[in-house]
Amino acid sequence: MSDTLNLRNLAWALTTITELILLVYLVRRKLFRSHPVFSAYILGAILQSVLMAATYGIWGYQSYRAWLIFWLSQLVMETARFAAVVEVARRVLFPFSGIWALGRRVLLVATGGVLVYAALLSREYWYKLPLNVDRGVGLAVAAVIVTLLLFARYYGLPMDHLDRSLCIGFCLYSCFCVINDSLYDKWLLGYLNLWSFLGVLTYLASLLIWTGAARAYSETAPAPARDPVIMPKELYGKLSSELNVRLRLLNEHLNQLLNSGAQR
Amino acid sequence: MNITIILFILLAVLLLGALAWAIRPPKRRLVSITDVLAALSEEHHYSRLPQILQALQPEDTAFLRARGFAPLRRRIRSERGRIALLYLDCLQEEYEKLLEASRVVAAMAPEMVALDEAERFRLNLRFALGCRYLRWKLRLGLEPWRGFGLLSEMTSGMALRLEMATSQIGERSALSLAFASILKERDDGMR
Repeated sequence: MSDTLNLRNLAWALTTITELILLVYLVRRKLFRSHPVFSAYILGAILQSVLMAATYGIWGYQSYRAWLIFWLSQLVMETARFAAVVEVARRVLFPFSGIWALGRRVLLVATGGVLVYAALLSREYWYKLPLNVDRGVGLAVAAVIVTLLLFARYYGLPMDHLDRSLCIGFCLYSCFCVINDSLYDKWLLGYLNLWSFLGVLTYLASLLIWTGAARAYSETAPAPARDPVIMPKELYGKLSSELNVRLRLLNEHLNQLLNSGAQR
Repeated sequence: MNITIILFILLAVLLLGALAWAIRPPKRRLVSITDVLAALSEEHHYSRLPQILQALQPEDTAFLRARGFAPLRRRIRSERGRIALLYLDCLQEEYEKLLEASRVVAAMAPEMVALDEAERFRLNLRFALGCRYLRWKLRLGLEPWRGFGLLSEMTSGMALRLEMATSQIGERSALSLAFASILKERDDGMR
């Protein structure tokens, strides 16, 4: 148990250092302008670490106050995490007004559906509310990211390395939170330190993915085209008539098929 | 184990699987209007449909069996089945090009109809499943009449949807240009 506790403290210290490095990259690369919510999320995570270190130092790990402060700060961080994911979704979909209009509705439905699903499955365990909220938000974040990535893939939307890395990091971390919370709920009550250590380790892995992407980000590198091509009127006329010819041909072939079927 | 816990873990694992699938590098994509135009002006494979259907009819080779050439008939039918499979590949390629073109159009559309998009997605699934089903039928030497008819109909439906979406974009572009011209005239008049 003591070894695990030391490992956890080590992972915690590593996490805070990595968060600070990431924040430095975000500031130096001026990414806080394009990703303000994500930057605020990382800053919030650092502040949460400081707050919890102070709380545990004053009241100890097992106190009710420490528990309350942890879960309240965690609620703020969950909200910030979700907002950071929405920021990425907006960055990817917004330049395409038609896709954004549809995409935001799909993402909203996915979020609502997952939250309702999580709430319904957890309705018998309201006394574990913080854990259920953590799990529900984790599922919602992962669902939004997967839906966004599928959307981007289906429509072939450009997505830069940083946004992709943010999605991967958030999704991995959120899915692990869900699995971790579920296992903890059932079996790991006696292994609080191990549970906490595994959670910190996953978060550290996500931080490393984000830091790598922020480090590789270059302001001078050509960004993928975000502004969709506007279709000129002349080209549209050509395309439209081409499509009409094709449509007529298709109908003709369909008629031939129907006739040959009837002749059998 | 508690069913709730299984469901939560299962969903998380499913999401991880979907993430792994979604972040794979995409296949070659059509990205410009020129590519869309090229795809639309290519030869239409489904124009060979009647010949393919004729070749697959058992009656077309029945006379060989009647004259005692059963092995030759089997070989010819096997060859025709192989050709039908190649034709199916072309049909699928053509369908995917049309689908890609519709995605390019969607990326330029000021707004999309959710039901139309959902319908296209559903059709895409049906086409993929239909193609697979038909391939198995051909490999097993079964009569593929209904399947081919269905796929041809779906390709036609895709072209129709694409035409409607393009018309909407054209109308919007024309309106935008007209509006811009009105604004310009108004600014010139105020000077």
